[in-house]
Amino acid sequence: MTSNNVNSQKEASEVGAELLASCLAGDRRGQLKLYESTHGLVYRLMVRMVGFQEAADLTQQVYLKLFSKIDQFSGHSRFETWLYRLAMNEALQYLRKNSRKKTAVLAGDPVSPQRPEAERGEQREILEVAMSRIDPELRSIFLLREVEGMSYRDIAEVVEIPEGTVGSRLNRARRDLQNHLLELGWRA
Amino acid sequence: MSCSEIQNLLSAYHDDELDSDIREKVAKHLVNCVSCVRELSLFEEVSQLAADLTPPVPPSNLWAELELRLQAETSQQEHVVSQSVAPARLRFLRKYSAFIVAATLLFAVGVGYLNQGDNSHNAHHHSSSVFSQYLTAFENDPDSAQQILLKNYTNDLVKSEQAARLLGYQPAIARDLPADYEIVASYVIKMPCCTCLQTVCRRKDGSQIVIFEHDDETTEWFDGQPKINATCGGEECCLVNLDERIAASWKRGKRHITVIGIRDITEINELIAWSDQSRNKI
Ligand SMILES: [Zn+2]
Repeated sequence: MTSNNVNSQKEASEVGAELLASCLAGDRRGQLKLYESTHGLVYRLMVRMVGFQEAADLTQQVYLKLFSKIDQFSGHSRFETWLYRLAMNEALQYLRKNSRKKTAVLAGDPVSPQRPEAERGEQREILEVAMSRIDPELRSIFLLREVEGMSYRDIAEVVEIPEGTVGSRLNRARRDLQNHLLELGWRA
Repeated sequence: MSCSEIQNLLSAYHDDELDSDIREKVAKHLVNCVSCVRELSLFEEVSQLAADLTPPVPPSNLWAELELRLQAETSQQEHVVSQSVAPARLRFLRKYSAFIVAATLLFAVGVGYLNQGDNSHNAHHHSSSVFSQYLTAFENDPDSAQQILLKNYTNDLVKSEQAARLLGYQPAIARDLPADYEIVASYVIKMPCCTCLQTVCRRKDGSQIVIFEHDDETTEWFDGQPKINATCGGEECCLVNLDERIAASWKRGKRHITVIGIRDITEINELIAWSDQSRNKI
């Protein structure tokens, strides 16, 4: 488990019924509190799904939808699962509409494939680039597993696929990633 | 099991999502199969890379922008006819985005302070300074807060024409008033730091907002309070989160404007716009 996972779980436990009720009533302070405790995860998901340029705007879109649809949250699933689903749907919908756009994952210079000598820090950047090159639906599952630390059951609920297919999609995601990583000069 | 069967299960094995009997079968296979082990070690390396990823930091003005979009949505629902609300707000946003950032930070700081409040030793934060008492009292009862100031400092109840003479400069408040506010009373107060003009205003709903114009360094006014300093248009601004309200201080020419009892970001924006306007007229 990474420190990210620990954080996301900590965030998770903080969204209580009382807070949701105040958001449901349209209370701005409640909305801010909910935003404060969850926007980190939405934003990091968006950066990896759609790139830095669109991440802020889409994060805001997610919260606009969240606050207007919060009455539809049934309470059958965990709130975070619902939020992740909302965020993933927003990202995938955006990518379908803008399928020609490449996801610009890095704020700075793109990693050149001509540079085989990647340092450890650059290896991380290489993963960001490789992630941006695989199929968005596979990418979403990979992120939920590796960055958000979710169980297969929760992943299945977020992306609305049978739990039994999460493993095989992750196999594909990881193999596709390896291929792109190797192309980018990754030395395993 | 064959290699291809094992490889179909490899992610689930790697992520510890297999039932124990199947897990054991996979483990047994891996003892003797170099190619499946190699595949698994690649999965592990990719996971390691992913664990090392640094989470991107959300831009600090994200909430401020979002709040404006939320407000724009609400006002569109409320006044379908007046379409100009949203663009006007967005212009505000661009012009005063630095301050909005500051206000956003303020909320973050405020929340953090409240969270800490229960278990940390904050006693030394309760400064005995009169202004601190004033700020604290203001949250519950602006009128009794006012009495604290007037009891402790020499003051004169003034009309705006007199104010300029007593202060030696033309205060912003004397030229015009922020829209929707009505002056209740103005005082020239001799504080330890400087002589300032205090104007108590009333909103249409009867709630109070108090505007100080003064000569000194603003940060001293907020000593003992959880506060933040932020740059606003190249100038230092200082903000304090009161219980339900905000206190903010910013520079206007050589002097400072300090406002107690601000409601939200929109109101800060409007007040800064007002003080900028009145400054331009000088
Ligand atoms: Zn094998």
